[in-house]
Amino acid sequence: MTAHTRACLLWGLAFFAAAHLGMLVATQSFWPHLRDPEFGYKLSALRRQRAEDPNRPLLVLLGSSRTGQGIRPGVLPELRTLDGRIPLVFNFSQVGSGPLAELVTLCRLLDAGIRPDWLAIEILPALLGRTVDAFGDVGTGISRLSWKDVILLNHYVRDPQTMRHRWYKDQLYPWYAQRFSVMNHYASNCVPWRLRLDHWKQLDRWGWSDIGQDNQPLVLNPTALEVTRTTYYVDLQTLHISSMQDHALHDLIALCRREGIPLLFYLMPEGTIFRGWYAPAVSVRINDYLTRLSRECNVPIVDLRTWMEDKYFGDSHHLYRQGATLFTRRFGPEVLACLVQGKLTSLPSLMTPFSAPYPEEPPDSGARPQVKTRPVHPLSPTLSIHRGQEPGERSSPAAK
Amino acid sequence: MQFCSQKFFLFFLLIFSLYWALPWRRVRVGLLLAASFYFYASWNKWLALLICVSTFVDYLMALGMERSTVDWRRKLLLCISLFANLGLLCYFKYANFFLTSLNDALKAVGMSASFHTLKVLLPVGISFYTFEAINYVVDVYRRRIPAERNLGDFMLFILFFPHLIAGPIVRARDFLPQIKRPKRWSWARMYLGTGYFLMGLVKKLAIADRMAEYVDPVFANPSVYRGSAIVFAAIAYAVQIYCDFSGYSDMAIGTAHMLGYKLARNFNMPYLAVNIADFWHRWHISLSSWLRDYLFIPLGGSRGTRGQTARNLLLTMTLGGLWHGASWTFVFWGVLHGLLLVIHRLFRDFSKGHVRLERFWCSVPGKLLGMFLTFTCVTIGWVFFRATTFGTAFTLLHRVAVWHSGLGTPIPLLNLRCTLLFLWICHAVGYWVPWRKLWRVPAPIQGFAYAAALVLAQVLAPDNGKVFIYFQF
Repeated sequence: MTAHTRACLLWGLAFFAAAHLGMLVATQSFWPHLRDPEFGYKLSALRRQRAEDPNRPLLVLLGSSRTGQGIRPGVLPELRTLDGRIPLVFNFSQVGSGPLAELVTLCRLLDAGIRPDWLAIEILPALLGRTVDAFGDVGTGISRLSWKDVILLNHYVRDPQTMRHRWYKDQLYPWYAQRFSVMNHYASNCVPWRLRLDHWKQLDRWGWSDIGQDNQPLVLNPTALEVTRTTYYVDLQTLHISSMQDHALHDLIALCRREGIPLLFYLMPEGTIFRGWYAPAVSVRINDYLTRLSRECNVPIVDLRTWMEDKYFGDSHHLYRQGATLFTRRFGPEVLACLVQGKLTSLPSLMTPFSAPYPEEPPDSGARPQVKTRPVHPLSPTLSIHRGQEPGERSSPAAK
Repeated sequence: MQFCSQKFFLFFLLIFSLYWALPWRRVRVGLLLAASFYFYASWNKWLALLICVSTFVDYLMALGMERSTVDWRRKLLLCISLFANLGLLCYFKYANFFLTSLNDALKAVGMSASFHTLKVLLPVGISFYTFEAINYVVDVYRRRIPAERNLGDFMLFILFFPHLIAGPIVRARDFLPQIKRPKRWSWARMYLGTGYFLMGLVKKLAIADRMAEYVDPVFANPSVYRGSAIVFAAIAYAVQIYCDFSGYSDMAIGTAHMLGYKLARNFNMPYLAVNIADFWHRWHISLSSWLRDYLFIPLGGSRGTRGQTARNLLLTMTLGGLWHGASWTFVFWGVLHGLLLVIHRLFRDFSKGHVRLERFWCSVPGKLLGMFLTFTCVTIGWVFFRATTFGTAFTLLHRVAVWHSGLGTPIPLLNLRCTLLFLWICHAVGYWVPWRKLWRVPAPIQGFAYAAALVLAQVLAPDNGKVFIYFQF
C-alpha cells in the first residue's frame, strides 16, 4: 500500500509539472495564440492573405478597438499605388491599444518577418495620459507578453523589476496565468461578461471585428455608453500627456523611419457625447501636443473625430457595422489612398499642414533627441528607447 | 491567509517540511502552535492574543474543576468559563445586532431613545473555537474527559490552524489524545491528505466561486431579474454554499492529515438526503452533533412529549441559526429548519401507522421524491440565509411565485448545467463505488487524476478569489 500511494503522489507531481512545462513551452513558442489570442489569430489571418499573393504590397492599420470595429478593409474601394499595384490592407488593431501597445505590435510583426509597406496608426487621445506601470498596459496584461516584449517594455515602465517578477511568476504556473485565455478559447460561455474577450473569434479575413449585423438598429446603447464614460471620463477631464506614451510614439516613428515604412497617424471618429467629455484645457493640451508631434517629427496626423454622425455609434466612440462601412468607404480614398500614393500633403483634416516631403531620417532637432541606442527587441532593428518618466519629468532640450 | 492562496501554500510547505524534519514531539507541538498563532495573527494580531487569553482561562477553569470535589465549586468554575466564552462571543458578534434590534423596536413603538452601536471587529472563527472550548469544559465538568495538564497541548487543540477559522468543530476527546500520540511519516496518510485537499480546492475554486457569478448579481438586485433567473440563482447558491463550506472542510481535513492528525468528517453528500432530519445528519455534521449533544439533549431531547420535543427542536435550530450570524434572516432560517424538523417528525409518526406509505418512502421513487422535496425546502431556506434582508428574500420568492419578466441569468446557463452534471457524476461515484475500489486504480491513472484536478482548479479559478462564506461566522 505504501509503495502504491507513494507512486500515486509522485505520478501526480510528475504529471502536474509536465502539464505546466508543456504549457510554458507551447505558449512561448509554437502556440502563441493561447498567450495572446488577438495577436495570434490576426497574424494567422494576415499570413493567409499574404500567402494568396506574396508580392502584393501591404498596408497595416494599427490601433485600438475603435479601429478594430470601425475600419473594414473588406469593403474598401480599390486602392492603387502610383505604379498601379493594389495593396493588401489589413486591420491589425488590438483592444485597448495605445502607442506602447502599437509599438509592441509592430516589433512583433517585424520579428514574425512581416514588414508592412505602409502603416496607418490610430492615436486614441484618451490613452495619451495613461502611465504605463509595472502592471502593464499592453492589451490586457502581462500574461500576454513574450520574453522579447518584456525586454522591450523594460525601457518604458516605471518599475521594470516588478513587471519582470510578475512575468516570471506567470511562467511558473502558466495554466493559471493563461486561464482566461484558455476559457475564452474553449468555453467562452462559461466566462463572466466582464472577463469575456473572445471578439477575435469573429474576425473577418482582413482583421476587422465582424460583430453586429447589417440590420442592427442604430440606437445609442445606454449601458455601453455608461461603460465608456466610466472608462474615459476622468482621463478626458484631467489628462496630461504621459511621458511614456510620448516616448513610445516617438520610438514608433523612429522605428518606422529606420525600416523605411511611410506612416500616418489618424484620430478615429467620436460621437458628440464623447467629444463633450473633453475638458477645454485637455482638448487644447491634446491638440497642441499632436500638432507639435506632427511638426517636430514631420508626420501627418489626420483628425477624423467629427467625420461620422452620432447615429452610427453604439457608445459614442465605437462604430456600428453600418457606420464602419460608411467610414471605411470614405477613409480609404481620402486618407489611405494618399498614403499609398505618397500624396501626404493632400490629406484632409490634417492637424497641422503637412508640406515637407517624407524625411529619410528622424528630425535631429533638439526638441526630441533619441538618447539611447541599445537594441531592445532582440530581432527588431536597433531602436532608440527612453525609460518612462513621470509627467513633467521630461528633460528639456536645453538640459540635453 | 486563505487555504487556496499562494501565501498559504508557501506557509504550509515550510511548516510541513519543518514538522517532518523535527524528530521531537514537543518541538513539533511547539512548531504547530507557533504556526497556528501566525496563521491567525495574519488576520489580526490583537485578536490572536484574545483567543490565547480565552483559551488560558478555559485551561485554568478545567484544571480547577478536575481538582475540586465540591459540586458547587465545579459548577461555579463551569459557569465562569461559559460566561467568559459566551460573553466574548456575544460582545463581538451579537452586541451590535441586539443594540440595532432594540433601537428598531423602540422606534417601532414611537420612542426616540437610541443606543450607539459598538465599533468592534469580529474575530474570525470565533463561533467555531468558542464551541470547541465549551465542549471541552462541559466534558471535563461531566468527567467524560480528564482536564489537559499541558497548556501547549490544550492551546494546540483550540488553535490548530486547519480547523481554527471555519471548523470542523473538533471534540476534545477526539483531538487531545492525537496530540500525545507519536507521529510517523506515512505515505498513505499523505495520499489521503492530498486527495482531500485537492477535492476541496476543486470545490472551492472550480465550483463555488464560479457559482457566485450567478448568485451575487441576482441577490444584489433581485427586482430586475425574471423568475427563472432567480430559481437558477437559488440553485446555484445551494451548490455554492455546499462546495464552499465542504471545500474548506476538505482542505482542513487534508492539511491535518498531512500533519498526522485526523479531523472529523463534516459533510456526507447532504443533497442526497431523503428528508430534513437526514439532511442534518449529512450537513455540517460537527455542528449538528454539537447542537445535539450540548443543547438538544440537555434540553430534554426527544424523551418528553411531542410538544416538548417540538419545543426542543425549535429552540435548538433557532439558536443554531443565530450561531451562523447576527441577523434576523439567520434566525428565521433556523426557525424554518426547526419547523421542517417538527413537521418531518410528525409525518414520520403518522407514516408508521400506514404500511403502504412507509413502503413507498422506502422505494426508489419515494426516495427520489424525498430528495427532491428536501432539496427544494433546503434551497428555499438558503434564500433567507443568503439574503441580507427580509425584503430581498421576499422579493426573490415573490418574483418566483408570481412570474415576472426581467433579465435572464447573469452568465449563460451552460456553466450551471455542466456544474450540476459534474456534481451528479461525483455523487453517483461516491454513492455507488466503494472508495477501496478507487484505491486499486493504477498509480499513473490516479496520479494523472490528481494533476488534472489541480490544473482544472487553476484554470477555473476566478479573477478575484472570494473569501470562504463560513469565515464570517
